[in-house]
Amino acid sequence: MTLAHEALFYSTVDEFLEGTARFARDALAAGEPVLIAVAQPRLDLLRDLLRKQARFGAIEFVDMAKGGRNPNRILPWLLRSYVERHCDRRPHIIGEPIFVGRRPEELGPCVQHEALINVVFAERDTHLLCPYDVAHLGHVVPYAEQTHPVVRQNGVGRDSRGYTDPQTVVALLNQPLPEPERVDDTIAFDVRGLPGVRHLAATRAGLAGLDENRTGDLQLALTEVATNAVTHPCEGAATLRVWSQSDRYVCEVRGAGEIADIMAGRIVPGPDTPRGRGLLVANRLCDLVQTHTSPTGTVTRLTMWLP
Amino acid sequence: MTNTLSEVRAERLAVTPLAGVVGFAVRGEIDQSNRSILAGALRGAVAQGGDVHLDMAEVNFVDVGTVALLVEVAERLRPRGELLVHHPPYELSYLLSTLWPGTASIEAEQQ
Repeated sequence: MTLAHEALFYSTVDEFLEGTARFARDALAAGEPVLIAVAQPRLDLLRDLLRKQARFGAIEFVDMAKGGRNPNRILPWLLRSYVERHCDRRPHIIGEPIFVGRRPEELGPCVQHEALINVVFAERDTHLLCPYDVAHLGHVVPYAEQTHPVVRQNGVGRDSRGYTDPQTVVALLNQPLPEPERVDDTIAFDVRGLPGVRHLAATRAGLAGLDENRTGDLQLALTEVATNAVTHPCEGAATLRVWSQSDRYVCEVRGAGEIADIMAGRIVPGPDTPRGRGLLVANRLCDLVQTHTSPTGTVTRLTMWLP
Repeated sequence: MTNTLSEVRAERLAVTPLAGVVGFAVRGEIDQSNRSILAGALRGAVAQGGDVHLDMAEVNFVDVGTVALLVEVAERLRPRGELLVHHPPYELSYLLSTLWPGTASIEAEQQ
């Protein structure tokens, strides 16, 4: 057996609980490990429902709004690490990346995440069930059909009505990012300017109200993205723009290289591989990482939500 | 308005030999703009074939490439020697545990 990746369409909390609890119980009955990554309040509802089984530690629970707050973080840091820890079994995962409360700009990265699951786990014996609240997220349904070969609703499974090759889905969502209303700083830099980029971002972050730890995280992420921008495809110049809005602090890097690998930033490389960790680190540390890549260059936007 | 970071030069990185052991005290921030200074110093130390010490008490920042460099140096030293990092900055410990899980430690015991 290989990957099974199914969407679960639900309209009520009862439908959610029925579909997900059955999936978890069937997996546990077969002796398989279960990861449940959904947002509150459904996480606690499901935990209550499964408390008898969960008592034996066979189920791991993750609040998707925290562990998966950056959609690009879910694949490398939640799902893959879980699957790798259970590589001798058939991991069963309930993952709800797109839930009511997601910001509009998170949707594109979420859909790309769903598409890339089909690539990363293509050869892995894994079963994923992704609940979708179709009563409140009707506009997302076409994306769910594109990214899941099978859709379940009211206890019945059927083939998707629009399953699309993952590369095509990722490319469809690779769109120019909307311009901000105001930019606080625009700076051109090359490799010698990396410390300056880091310091400017920190100064502006402080003014925007980002705390010290998160500013440190952002500096690390920004350094990696900026380093990629001034060293790929060869050493050159890049542009940094920073701005803040009431709910966010943003650093954006524009460089000349194109990202050719759709899995960039979503795979943890082996210990002997020298490269390929920069975007991965940004995905882990930032609240949102948006990219638009083309033959003329790549724009990477790092966002931290403000308290 | 676009400014240029001409006034913000690459941070000076100071790499000073330690007394009594093979290794260096490092001061500053380490990234792609100046990592070659550290890489060059370590190359010479690795050639001696024993333990190599790095005192990073005055290092304020390291990027992922620097951690990759240190992991590689530690690998090259084994089995005849070890890389012993004293007072690792936060990023080093964080990145090692996150990106190189299961890799043999390069952090010296805190004295």
